[in-house]
Amino acid sequence: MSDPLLRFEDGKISIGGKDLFASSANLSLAPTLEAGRVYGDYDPAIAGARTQFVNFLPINNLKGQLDVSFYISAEQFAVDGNPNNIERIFDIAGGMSEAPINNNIVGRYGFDNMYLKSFSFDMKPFGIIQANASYDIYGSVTKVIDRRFEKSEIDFAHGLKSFGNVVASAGNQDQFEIASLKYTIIVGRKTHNHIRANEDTSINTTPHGAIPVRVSIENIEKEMVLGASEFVDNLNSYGDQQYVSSPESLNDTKIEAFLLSLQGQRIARFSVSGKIHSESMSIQEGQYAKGSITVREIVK
Amino acid sequence: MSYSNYEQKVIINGYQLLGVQSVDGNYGISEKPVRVAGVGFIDATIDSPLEGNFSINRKMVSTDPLLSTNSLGQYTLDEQEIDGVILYDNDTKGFGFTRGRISRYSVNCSVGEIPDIQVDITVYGSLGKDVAASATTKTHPPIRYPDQSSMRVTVSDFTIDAISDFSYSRAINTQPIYALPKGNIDDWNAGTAGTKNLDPIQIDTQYPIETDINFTIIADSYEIREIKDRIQAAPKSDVNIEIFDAQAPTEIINRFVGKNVRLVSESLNSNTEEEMSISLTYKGYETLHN
Repeated sequence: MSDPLLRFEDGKISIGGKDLFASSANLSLAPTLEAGRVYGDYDPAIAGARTQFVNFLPINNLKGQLDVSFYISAEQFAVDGNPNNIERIFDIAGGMSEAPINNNIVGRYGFDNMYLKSFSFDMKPFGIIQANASYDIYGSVTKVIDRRFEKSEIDFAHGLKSFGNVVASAGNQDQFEIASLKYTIIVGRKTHNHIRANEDTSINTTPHGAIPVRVSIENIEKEMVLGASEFVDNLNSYGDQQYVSSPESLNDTKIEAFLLSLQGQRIARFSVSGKIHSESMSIQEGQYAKGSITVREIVK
Repeated sequence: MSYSNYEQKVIINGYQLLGVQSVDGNYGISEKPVRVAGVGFIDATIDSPLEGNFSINRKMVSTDPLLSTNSLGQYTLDEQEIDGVILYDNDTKGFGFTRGRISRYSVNCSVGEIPDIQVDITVYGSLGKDVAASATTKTHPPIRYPDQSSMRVTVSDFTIDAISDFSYSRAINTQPIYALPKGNIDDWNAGTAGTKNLDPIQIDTQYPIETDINFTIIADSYEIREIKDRIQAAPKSDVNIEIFDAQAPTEIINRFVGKNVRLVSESLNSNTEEEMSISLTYKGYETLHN
């Protein structure tokens, strides 16, 4: 018989049947309930019917969320820059599949019908690269046997070997010393519930209840936030760096992140090519002046 | 094979230092353990840049070349990086460093002793064998000895009694800034960053530099001040420590100046074995533009 509390070492986290090198995970579920109030029986004292509360009533799908922080590794994410199965679990791109991710486990709980909502990672000098992914879950969770898996040596993506590149729209490249990079890609989704599909009382024979028949991809946006020694001068209202007499035909600002493992294996590269949506410069006691530049790109 | 104490040379910024009593060098790497859910501890990865420390103890037997000043009278090594090496085995082997910054410089002296100089250096660059293993490139100032009769401590606002010991130290805080490696698609195809940025991209001195001066006087005419008067007045003094050549008393070897320093503590010591003494501690702050 297992202990009442699950140890970190026994709390395996799997997504789509693939084990993740997760440092933390947060799984939450919440039914959407509304107070059901109806007119009750006739009350002669008021010569009318009193309103009475009957019960809380579900007005939407049972919805959950999984937020997971994990280490990117050469073994699990890619092999020499080529995507493998587990990388596709985090792949947000135009034309990506709308199919749910099934066979997921967080500690002692298993669940299906999960959809990727966002993926992000941070790079900083001399630091291991940690990524975050967030998923929407529809339906309930079931208890499973807690498990662990064996790993002794992993080649993690690391800021020691990984590198970045910034090219402002006017072509300035060398002015930026990169203190940090944060990449985020977000997919906007919409649930579709068909009227007939969820009407049958049989859907309540399991705790999952009504499940969306489709979770479509509505939009995809990616963003890179650069912490740097400088920020972009001559920024115009179009979000470009403008040194010439016209804002026409200026290139987009491009920020790239190249992820390599500590052993020097190429893992993945990410880029954002778009407009500068904000930038800031701060200076305070005991610190250097720090610039921050946010560039966004619309994928879909 | 071992190397005895007279077979080594300590070279800092091209000067072979004289009067060296001891040298300590070390470096450290900080690691972060990686723990994974469902596994536990897997490995530890590097979490911060390599930093090393060198500590050099010398007897003051000449003008200190590490105390060179610019035209404004500021110590040049407050802002400059230094290289150094310990050479041994007939100068064929060395333990060197690059991109060092002085983090503390102190002088201590008591009656009957030659002053001791201690220099602490923080290394932000490379450290190890074959690093900065160059021979002497500059001529060290000639050997000159002070003795207890050739040292002078003066304070601007009172006449000082006989001094039995003094210490002077400057603590210099430096801040290194590191950046991510840089590269482009060509570097990605080559599998390595174009600019690795293993060293800091900038190292700055954080001002003010704190100067601490302490000396002990044999109580004669001096009387400890009334503390509330001092708090309200908060007077500043200039303290000069001048060390002359014992053979040529007009030729100065080294001078240490505390400008606009405040008396921050006084203590009186009296016991059955010694003369009554009073210890005074001054503290000053040197800014970038003074």
